[in-house]
Amino acid sequence: MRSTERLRYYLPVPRLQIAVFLLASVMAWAQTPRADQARADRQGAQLGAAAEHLRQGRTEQTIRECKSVLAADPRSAPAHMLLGLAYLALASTDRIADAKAELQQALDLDPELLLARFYLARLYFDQGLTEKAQEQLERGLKQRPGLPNFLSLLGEVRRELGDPGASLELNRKALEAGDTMTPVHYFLALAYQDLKQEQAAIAEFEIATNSPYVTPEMYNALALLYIKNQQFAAAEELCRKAIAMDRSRPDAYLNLGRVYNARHASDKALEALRTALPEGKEFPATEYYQQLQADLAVERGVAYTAKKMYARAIDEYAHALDFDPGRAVIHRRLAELYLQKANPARAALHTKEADNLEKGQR
Amino acid sequence: MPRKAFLIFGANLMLLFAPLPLNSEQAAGPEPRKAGRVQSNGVQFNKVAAESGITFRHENGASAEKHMFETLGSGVGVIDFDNDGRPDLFFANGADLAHAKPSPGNALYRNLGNGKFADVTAQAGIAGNGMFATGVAVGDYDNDGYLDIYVTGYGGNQLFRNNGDGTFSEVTARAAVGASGWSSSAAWVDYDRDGYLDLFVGRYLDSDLRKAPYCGYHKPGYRMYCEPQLFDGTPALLYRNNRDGTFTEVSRKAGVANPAGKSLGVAIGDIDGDGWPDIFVANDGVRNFLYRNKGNGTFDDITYGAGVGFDSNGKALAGMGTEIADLDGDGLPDIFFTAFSDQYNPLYRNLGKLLFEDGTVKAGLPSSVKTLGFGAKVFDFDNDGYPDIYVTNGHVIDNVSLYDRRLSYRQTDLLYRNLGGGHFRDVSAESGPAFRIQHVGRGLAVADFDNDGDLDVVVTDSGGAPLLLRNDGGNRNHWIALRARGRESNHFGIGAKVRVTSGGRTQFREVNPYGSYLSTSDTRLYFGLGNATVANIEIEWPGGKKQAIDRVHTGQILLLDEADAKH
Repeated sequence: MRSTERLRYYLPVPRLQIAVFLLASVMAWAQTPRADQARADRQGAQLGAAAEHLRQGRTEQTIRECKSVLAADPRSAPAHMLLGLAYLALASTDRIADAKAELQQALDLDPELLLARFYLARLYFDQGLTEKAQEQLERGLKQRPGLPNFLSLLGEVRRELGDPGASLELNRKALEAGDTMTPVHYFLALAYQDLKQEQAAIAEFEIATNSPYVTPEMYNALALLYIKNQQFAAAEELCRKAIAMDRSRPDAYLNLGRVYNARHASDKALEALRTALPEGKEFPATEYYQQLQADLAVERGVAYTAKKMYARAIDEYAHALDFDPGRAVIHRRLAELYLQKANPARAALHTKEADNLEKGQR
Repeated sequence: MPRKAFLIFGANLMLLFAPLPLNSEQAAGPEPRKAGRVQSNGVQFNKVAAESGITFRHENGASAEKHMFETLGSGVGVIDFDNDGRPDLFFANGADLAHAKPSPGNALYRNLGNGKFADVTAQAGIAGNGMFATGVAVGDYDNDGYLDIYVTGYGGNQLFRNNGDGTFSEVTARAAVGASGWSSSAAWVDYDRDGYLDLFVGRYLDSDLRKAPYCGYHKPGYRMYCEPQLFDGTPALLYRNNRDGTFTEVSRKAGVANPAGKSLGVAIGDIDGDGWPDIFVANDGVRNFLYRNKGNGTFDDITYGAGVGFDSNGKALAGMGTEIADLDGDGLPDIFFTAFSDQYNPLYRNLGKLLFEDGTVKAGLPSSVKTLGFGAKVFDFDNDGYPDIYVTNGHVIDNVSLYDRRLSYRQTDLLYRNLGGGHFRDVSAESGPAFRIQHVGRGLAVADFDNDGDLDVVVTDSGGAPLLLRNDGGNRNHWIALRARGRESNHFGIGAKVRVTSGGRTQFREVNPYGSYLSTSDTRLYFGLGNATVANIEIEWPGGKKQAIDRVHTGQILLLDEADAKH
């Protein structure tokens, strides 16, 4: 499963669209003749207020308004949609099911609510349910062909399904359709990365990170490329920008740890890595967090190796294998460390395991 | 439940059991009882499944692939299929689907009346089609006077019509109630009050056997069952009885087909007293649904207005089993449901005017946070006139202790004694050895299996043998039981409202054997009366007729016939 924490960063992107769309929805809803016009007007006003709260980032107020509307009219599709978006904006993994439920109900009541469909697709995508995301996006594009948001996200979905070429095509179409929003460039960059066109990827990432709608994961993705290219100062700057946007996201600290390790600043690396997942913090046993914990353990292993604290480095690498037993490179590092500790038998075991894994990968 | 069985109708068991002396009269209304009356009354639940001849063992199909359907167990149905006055037992069984093995089959046990049961599955022809069976809803859909069985499951449901001669016929296709996907709890309900039982079927997740996502750590032994949030829900189904042995699916038209439903528990009750049965659905990880019957064939989802969708922090709980019952004695049906570990089992008090409040803390019920509750049943185990709550527990994740050392897969059950006014005390520790049994509790039903005047308990165990718990001592207080015989209403009077007044107090209950989790209880209605020896009874039939019987002597199972009722 991908990190559902990512969801929050997609809400601000089409904020303007949300506002326009919601206003239209609310107006259409309010103009529908109703038996009790006064009540309908009141609910229309409440929905408008809820939309404004959401636009301003006042999530709890949005939730309160939507629940109040739904108490009076359980079949208000815009209220269900807004409530779903508000749950997403809470960016909490334990509200994802609520968000999905509300978006699904909104669409059940009004299949034309394309914004609900888009965010349902987005949610599926973030949960790793790419086929379901694709289904929603394709349905949306049938309803309204050429919709840039849908084209762009569909491209990213297709990339995730192993077709970066399709992503390039769909995201370019999205650009042609007038969508200049940040995710298009981000998705293009990811597709170029998959196609091993690094310079093109960096160019697109740089457009994305210079956009007013940049998100921490865009900074992080580019930072990783900079680290790979040994542009450590630039990478560090991007990590710091990502942290400034959201101090709770662990991946920026991980990358910062990588930067410091690469610069042989082991103590600073360990400090950054400690901040990534504070001790005692609970997190779900999802694929994302397992990979994250494995990555953090690897970087701690690197830091302790540099400090010649080989026993602790071995512990960290072993810890990384607990979370992801399929990484040959960790076995190689363990083999080297056991050789350092004059334990050739254990070293041979890890070398053999690394060989097996590499053969399997081939 | 003493070892010796007693006769059924009209026997005044008070001749055999002297009532416990109580030191003050029953309080009227929802006030807590005075100190001194809250002591344990010595009722013990004792495990008797082995000597009773019940050899059923549940197949949960636990596999390395950790399919979701392996976690939720199967239910149990109390059914007096031969109308001999002795409640029989039907167990739904799972299947090892991951290895393409059919279910070992459901099981029907006939109550022989001497504390023994005989397996009559083969003669009855009710073993099922090999699917993973989950829920059991017992009801007489054709009003022929014999209880039929609807079995829900993963991959389709089955309806078994009782032929009245000890055999059943599988009539799913003809009745058109096969459904699809993964059904959980179901309940028979005459939602249109035409005198025929309709069928509400809760459905759970959209989970494909061919795809089992990997969840949990990649260390050996750490793969775990996934969270339901990874899956879509599926809409519930409502089947309208066409009165000719067939049904029409009307879920969407009726307004109960919310696609986000992840239903596990279904309870029926007239929450607003308008005479039309309403439906509460406990959902797993998304808000609950409270459907108010508008009386015109459609329902309103009033969850947001009623305040029963979320916990007091506005978060959806992982709802499992559920009950609708008047727990505080104010005459309004409240809602109780079980939930996940690190959540409490909430009680929503009905304030009237379609409003509820979370009264869990006030009721003294939050002692359940470490347990994961499934089946729950509201019944008066000690016949003191106050309905109590039994909750069976068991985690869904078999290796949960690897992730959280505080939690265990096998858990003990809970018994909450109603101290009056809807205030409860956990009396599990003093209520017999049954509450020291660590198991994986799922379905739960109650019935007076030995017809001795107190309600016994049957609990299913996911992957294990069921518990049959005999109530020893509950009949030391006075009691009365009612069997409803509908004429214009459905044959077993499902949905009839009964008010029993004794000792200055009135108890309100509906004839409704559903609720709990995947299970059906005794269709007879039991009332504890404390030290009262006579009671006045009023019944309001689903068709609208009313009937009153004054000064009924306690200690009997009374047949109430709608033929004697008046408009």
